[in-house]
Amino acid sequence: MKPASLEPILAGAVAVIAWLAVLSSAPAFIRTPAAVVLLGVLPGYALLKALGLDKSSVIVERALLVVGASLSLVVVLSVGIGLLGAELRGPVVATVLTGAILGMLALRLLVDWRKPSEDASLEDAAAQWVMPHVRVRRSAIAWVLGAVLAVGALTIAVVSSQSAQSDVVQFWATRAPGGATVGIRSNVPTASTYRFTIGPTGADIMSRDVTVASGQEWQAFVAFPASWPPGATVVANLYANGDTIPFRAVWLTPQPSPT
Amino acid sequence: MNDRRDQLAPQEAIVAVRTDVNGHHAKLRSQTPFFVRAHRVPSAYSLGWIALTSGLGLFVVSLADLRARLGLDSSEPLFWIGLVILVLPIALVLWSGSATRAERIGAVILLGLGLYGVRVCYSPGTFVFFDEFSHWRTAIDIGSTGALFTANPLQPTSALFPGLESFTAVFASLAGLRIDQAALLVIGAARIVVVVGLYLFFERASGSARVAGLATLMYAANQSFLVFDQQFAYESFALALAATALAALAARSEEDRSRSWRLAVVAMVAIAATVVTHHVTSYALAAFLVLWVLVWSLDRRPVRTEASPIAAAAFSAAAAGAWLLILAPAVIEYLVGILHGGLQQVLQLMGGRISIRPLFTGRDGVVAPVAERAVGYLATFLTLAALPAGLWTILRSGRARPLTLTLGLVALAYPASLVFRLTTAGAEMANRVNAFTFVGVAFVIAIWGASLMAPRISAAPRILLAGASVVVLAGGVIAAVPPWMRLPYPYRAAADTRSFTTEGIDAAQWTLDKLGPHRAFVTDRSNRQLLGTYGYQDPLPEPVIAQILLSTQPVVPRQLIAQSHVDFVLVDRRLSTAVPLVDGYVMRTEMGGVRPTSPLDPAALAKFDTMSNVSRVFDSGNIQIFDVSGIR
Repeated sequence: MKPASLEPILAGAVAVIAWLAVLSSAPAFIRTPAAVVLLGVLPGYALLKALGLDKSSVIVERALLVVGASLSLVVVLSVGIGLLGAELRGPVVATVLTGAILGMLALRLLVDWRKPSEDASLEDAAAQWVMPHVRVRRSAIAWVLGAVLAVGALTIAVVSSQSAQSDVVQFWATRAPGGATVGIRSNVPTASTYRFTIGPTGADIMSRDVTVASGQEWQAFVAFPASWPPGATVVANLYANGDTIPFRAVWLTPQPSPT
Repeated sequence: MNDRRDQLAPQEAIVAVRTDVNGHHAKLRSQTPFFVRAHRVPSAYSLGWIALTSGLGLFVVSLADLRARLGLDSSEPLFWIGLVILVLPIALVLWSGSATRAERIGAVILLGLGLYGVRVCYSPGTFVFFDEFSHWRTAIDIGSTGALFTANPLQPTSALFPGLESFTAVFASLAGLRIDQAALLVIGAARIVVVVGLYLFFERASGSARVAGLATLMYAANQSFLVFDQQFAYESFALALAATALAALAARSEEDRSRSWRLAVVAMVAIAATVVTHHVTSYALAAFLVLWVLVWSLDRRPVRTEASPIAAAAFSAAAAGAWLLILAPAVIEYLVGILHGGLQQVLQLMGGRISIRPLFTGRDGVVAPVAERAVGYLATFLTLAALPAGLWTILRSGRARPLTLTLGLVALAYPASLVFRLTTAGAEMANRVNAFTFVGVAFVIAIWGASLMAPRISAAPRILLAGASVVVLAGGVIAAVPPWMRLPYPYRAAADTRSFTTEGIDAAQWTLDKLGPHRAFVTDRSNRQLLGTYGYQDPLPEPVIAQILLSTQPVVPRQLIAQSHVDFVLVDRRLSTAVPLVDGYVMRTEMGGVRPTSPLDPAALAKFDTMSNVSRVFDSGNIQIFDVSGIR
């Protein structure tokens, strides 16, 4: 009998910490790495450990199998949970997955405990995961420049795609008991004042000036006066900057509708 | 001789490592491949410089995107320059005889990441490709209901293969991210797994890091690689799972049975995940494994080195068949429809009943520039020319393994698929199989290429071959991505990626906010995707929509609105400004299947203004929403 390897125990501890992190209400920058480790690394790592494949492959192959098997295991587990009729929720999958990871690691510990070998020392385990020697040399600066350029490319993409947003003004009216709900949403860059009118064709029309800040929404209930003929179509128009021609128009027909 | 290239170096071929009975690592053998006389010289390459050129290439592509967003003409040359800066140095490393294995692996990872970066820069953080919205809807359904197989009104088959969407929904939920943010990471990870998985698969199949690197480079030249298989869609993810399965299966050997069955377990988990993720990928994987079994069973060599693929093939075929018949029988009609359409048109073409589809011509009738056509034809010619050379290299060795021969047989499907490209319906089918046939094509070309590099390759031919690789990759981009779609140009009606605008997104979000989810909607092809995701509405099937939306007469649409229990119609007035660049305003067979030569009649969209009992409840300028529930 030999002393148990610390590596599966450490991996199990990492799994539990990641599980606690993803179930917490921590911000995304904490939960995202935890979720990446819990879903993208540990399941495959534990499977390879349980199968005894953790030492028998070269580093790249092992890394591929760890990530590929992780993705596969999570897919199979998630779909399996769904097929069993249970609710396919993140916390459920995380809990079952953590249990499966701990189970596979425990299996490995059990095998190691019973196997009279001497290959599972912490030093050996650490050595397995050391990347093969890669010459850093002067090319480190090229790596940094490459990364900077890639980040620059993404920054340009993000900024330019955001600046391509349109400046649309939305205008709506939906039927409500005794009247209508009228609303304006403005995406123009500055606060703008609009005038809207509402009323049935050929009857008294109500009007009102509304100032809406950029990216904001204004909405109000407009009660229909009794003087308005029942059964008439009610038209609402929206005017901008003192224009006399409406640039948005909606109308409500007399028929009752779900809105 | 002072030329360092002439120095013999440690073996270039991979060294198989396994664990002996005591758990010790042992170098088993140096697998000098039969087609490579390996003479390695000290590397003149540094991954750092390749990372730098990759970053620079991506930066230039991003500048091209920026120009396109601003609506500036002549942005495309910048795109091509960026792509060449990104790919050519990587190709030079992979065509080099002196690069180390680590450098080759690093190069293929940079290739995968760099090309994924091109997709990310196209539309950072938001979905923009048509199919992405369909799969996003499935992920939204899983996230909101916690159940699988919720009917997806955008693409019913997506819900029947929920591997990608369930993974993404769970990841998003646990990471505290939005689905689109999570999708960016999931597809990025899948991309790395695809290139590394294929590299290892090719390496095991050939016994050569050179072949593996070249084959992965050539695989990236398949027409699906740059766009179709980088989008948030089930095939993108399933390819990663299938690559994992293939890498695990190829790593098995007859010499180490204990390790073999353990790797088979890993492979079967990956196969199972593939089966629940994407139909075509799982069938292609099963077909490949069955073919491998057939070739393997015919292997009469006294000593076999490859472990039997029978169990994996049987499991793959059984799992894919069971999923199809028990849980996803609707897919049969979907796939048969695609197959039937393609085969029918090919037969008609051979019988002289239809003519060849105009190649390099857009749906709006615009013919591609001469340079593009030249590159497209040259890419196909180079691929076809290299295939026989590669197959001959395999066969003349007399020592080809079953896996090598199987890949050679898969490559033969490529010339056959070209016939389908000559027809309209067949072209879609050929596009779909490209990602699979190219596994064989890439391998065979790489074997031929590696044989050219033995014992060493001088600078001029290497640059020529690397340039040829870039031409083949560019040919794939030209064939798969029409010019109007290559860059994020401003809005254009009926043009998918260019038709998803902020105004449409805002309108869709308004419907969710003010009308609630799951309302029965009629709208065009692009807004349908936005309503089904941002709005969480339930657009009607396309044939019904086409009849209601595109008719200039109100009588039939009115009847259909009543019969189909339509709640709302979203009208985008911009539809009447252009002819479709895609399958139609709504679907391919709309308006009798006749491709329009002039934009949609504005009267078709204006008819809702004058319909009785119809309210216009929303107006944002180009988009109006009509409440038609009053005429039900």
